[in-house]
Amino acid sequence: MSHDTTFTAPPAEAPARPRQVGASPRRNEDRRLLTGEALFVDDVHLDGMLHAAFVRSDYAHGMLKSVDLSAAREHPGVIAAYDAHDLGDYWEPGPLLVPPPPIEQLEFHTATQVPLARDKVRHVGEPIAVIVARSPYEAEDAAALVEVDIEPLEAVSDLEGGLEPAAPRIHEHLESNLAAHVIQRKGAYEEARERAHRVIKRRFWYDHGASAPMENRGVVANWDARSRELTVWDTTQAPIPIRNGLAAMLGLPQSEVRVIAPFIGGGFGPKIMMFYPEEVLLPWISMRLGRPVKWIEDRQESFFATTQERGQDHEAEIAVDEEGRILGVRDEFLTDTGAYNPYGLTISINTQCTLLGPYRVPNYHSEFRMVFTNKPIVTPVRGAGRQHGVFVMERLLDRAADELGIDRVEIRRRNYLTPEEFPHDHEIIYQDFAPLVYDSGNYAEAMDRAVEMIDYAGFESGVQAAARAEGRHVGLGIVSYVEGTGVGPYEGARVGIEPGGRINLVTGVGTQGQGHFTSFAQIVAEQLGVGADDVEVVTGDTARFGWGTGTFASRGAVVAGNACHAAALEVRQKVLALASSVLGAAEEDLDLADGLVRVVGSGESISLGELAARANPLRGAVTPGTEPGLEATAYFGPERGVTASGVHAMILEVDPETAMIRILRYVVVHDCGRVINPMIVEGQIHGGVAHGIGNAFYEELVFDEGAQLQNASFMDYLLPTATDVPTIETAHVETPSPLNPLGVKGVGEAGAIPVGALFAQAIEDALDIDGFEIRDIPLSPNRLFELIRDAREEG
Amino acid sequence: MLIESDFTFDLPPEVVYAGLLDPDILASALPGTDRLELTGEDRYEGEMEASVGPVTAARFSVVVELKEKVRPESFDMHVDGKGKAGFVNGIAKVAFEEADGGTLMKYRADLQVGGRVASVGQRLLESVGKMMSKQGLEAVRRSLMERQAPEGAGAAVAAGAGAATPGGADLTASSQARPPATRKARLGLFLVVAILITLVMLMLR
Repeated sequence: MSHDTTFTAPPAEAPARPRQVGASPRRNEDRRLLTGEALFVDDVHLDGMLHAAFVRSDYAHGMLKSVDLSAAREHPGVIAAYDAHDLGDYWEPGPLLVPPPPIEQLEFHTATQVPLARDKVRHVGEPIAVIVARSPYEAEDAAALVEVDIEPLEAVSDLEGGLEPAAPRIHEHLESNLAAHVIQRKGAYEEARERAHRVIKRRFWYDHGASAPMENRGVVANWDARSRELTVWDTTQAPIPIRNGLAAMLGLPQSEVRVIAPFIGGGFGPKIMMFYPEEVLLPWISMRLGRPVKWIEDRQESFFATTQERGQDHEAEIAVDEEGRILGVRDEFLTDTGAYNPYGLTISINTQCTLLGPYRVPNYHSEFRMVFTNKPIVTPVRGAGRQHGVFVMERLLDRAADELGIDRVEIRRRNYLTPEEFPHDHEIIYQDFAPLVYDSGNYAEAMDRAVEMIDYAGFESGVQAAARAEGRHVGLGIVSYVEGTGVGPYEGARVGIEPGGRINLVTGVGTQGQGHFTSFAQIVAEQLGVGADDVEVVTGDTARFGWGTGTFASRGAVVAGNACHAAALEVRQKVLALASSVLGAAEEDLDLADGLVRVVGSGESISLGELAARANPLRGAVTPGTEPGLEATAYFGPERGVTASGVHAMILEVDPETAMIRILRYVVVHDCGRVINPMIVEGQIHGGVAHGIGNAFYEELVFDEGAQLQNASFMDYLLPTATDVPTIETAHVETPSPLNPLGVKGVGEAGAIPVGALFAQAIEDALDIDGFEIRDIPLSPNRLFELIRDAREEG
Repeated sequence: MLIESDFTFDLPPEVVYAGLLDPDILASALPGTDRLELTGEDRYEGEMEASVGPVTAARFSVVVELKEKVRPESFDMHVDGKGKAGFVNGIAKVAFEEADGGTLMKYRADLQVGGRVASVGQRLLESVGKMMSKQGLEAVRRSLMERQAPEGAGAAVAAGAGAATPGGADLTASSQARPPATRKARLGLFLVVAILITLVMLMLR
């Protein structure tokens, strides 16, 4: 797909503004990234910097009897060593990051992670002690000398077992391992069930996985007593909440704490404002020792110490009429939160809400129980529980289509909400605490486009029949999904023009590869009549911008993007007002283009840089009340999230003997409202689909019954490689959101969401074995081989 | 992790049982043990180092307790090994029965493996574990056969005589009467355990 990558100035006689939003200029950040000039946390080197290594639990569950640091402390190069008792009053469980939403009769029990285990360990990899040394090598060698005595306890490794009365209890202050019990209802499902032509019931298992970013986590903390400033470089998606939290924990004013989230090699959720032990301890250590300290996570640590997303066990049923119209859905599921639940109910509420998809579901009963287990902590990973819900709904619709003899595209079309039905209230509460109300969408159009692109109509008699004739098994999958994106509460941005004419844009959100330096620049450039590359973007440095929440929930473009837009509009107004007085022309007769303000029709102009200089006089007087400069700060807070949507379609070939698959075509039709930068949106979709393919067919965190992770390396935890990810054909449906001035919706997680459901349907279609159903994700060649063998034996 | 398999010797159970208690026979099959102490009744503490191919030397300490000894039929080994790279604990049950004039030795080790051993070595742990235990036992069989050849029937008779008395009581009594020999025997038992542990630890990096 080609895009207009050059910006052409309009001729003077045609003062239509150049279109920045909607174009695909080269990414501003790529020069820095590709030439090695981009700063990552591990690039921070400071005089006298020390290095930390953590001693972690090998046991999933056990009583911590003793920690002996004496040998470690005597190791050459070691400066300090701490266990939980050395932390004194600083030892506190972390904050509950997301309290439960206001849902009636909700039951919620919380237990948040601790900086270092004290008395008890609750998952493998839980930190027990930290060693600080002159080099990372000395720190790790000394860490190996720490004598830890743990008396093993039976571990909780499965969800049903964890809820049994006899199960070992993970948190002594709670009555059981039940972390939450939540019921959300719409209409009256039981009545709908009575009226149904068919009720179809299935049990599904959907597991997710590790976020596997290219860059693991890392922290550098430096307390400078003379300037009274604590600087923390942190691979966080949310530097401002981390600054606020650290200031409170350390007893410092927020003004003395600066958190910098520099370039980050992928976030995908687990780098959210977790207040990870390492994030909380390094600043404390730096203040105590008066020296900078660095910790860089290694890949193996990442499998335990960084949060991950895992499985849900669903019992679901759908009630349909004779035409395949959905009368209601009932879903009950168990969901794993790991050893602690700092992120509250977000994932499960996402599952609950996203299950409804683009469909009209008049009656819904959804109930879940969240269970503590002795596994690493679960928090959102790209998709954040939405995959699970989409899988359940799409699978139920596939089964309904089979049983009723209705085409699978047709049964979806019959149930789509139509454009006239927006806003559509689903009458349940979403993860942002607001009612689940879809703002806009055009689902049938997206399906039509996908059907056309993949040639759905001709597939069976064409590609599939031809393959069958050659003894090959080729199948097509086509599924729908929605994604609630762009949730509040707010973000901010400051836009200013320098005397040299450069535009500065600063926003509080961090960036982990989303292209913020370009898409935010485009939004500002659009209003100020400059090129995207004229806008210098700064993100993720609390000293540069101190208000905001962070990058998560596909909200950057929606919330921060609209703040950039609002700030740019204010600066534009200041430019017009000043230029009007300087040029002696009415504001309506002025046009901004090429970095100039022109008087339409006269040829007179003044540059933005000159205006900026005039807005900051060094001598003389200004009108009282005048603010200097051409600068503005603005905020945007949506009343609720916006609903993006899409259809994925795929043709794949399955070898029934080896159970290996080959993706022949992959089509994505996506609606993220108004597209700011098509290339970046497509990049987000490509990355998401790659994650989705991994989740569907390669990646799985395998634990034994003792809650020991069995595949904590990329030798055994398989990520899809370039050869496993096909060329992805994309098309955009644009239904602008009415909930924000730019009309945009989020896209960061979209690509990953429907892929499991898509694989299941396409593989079933390819194999065409009676009674062969896929109810579990992830698959793998092994798993698929077993399913094929079982189906053949039964058949 | 479950390591369950069996192994056949062309010698009667009494000979095999006695042989297995002889550290001289087992030592060659077991590299890496550099300290081993009897620290209590049927309790041994030791230090091992395992290193094979790309796997760098990993040290671990191990405590073994022998229980349920029925000579020459069976014994249980309670294993608790810990090291920088993880832990192994559990019970290995070893049983001997006569089969066609020889001995069918069955072993079943139900081990909890944790830490880096489990998380990185898992893929090869079981298959290599089985392979290594077979190789170790092959070495034992060769040693037994070599010993049988020159000494002939005499050794078998001696072993058979030992087996005629009830197992547990006999061992306790004989350990008082002949402490050095029993000590050696116990050392041999430890080495059997150590083989199993080594198999697991071999996967370390």
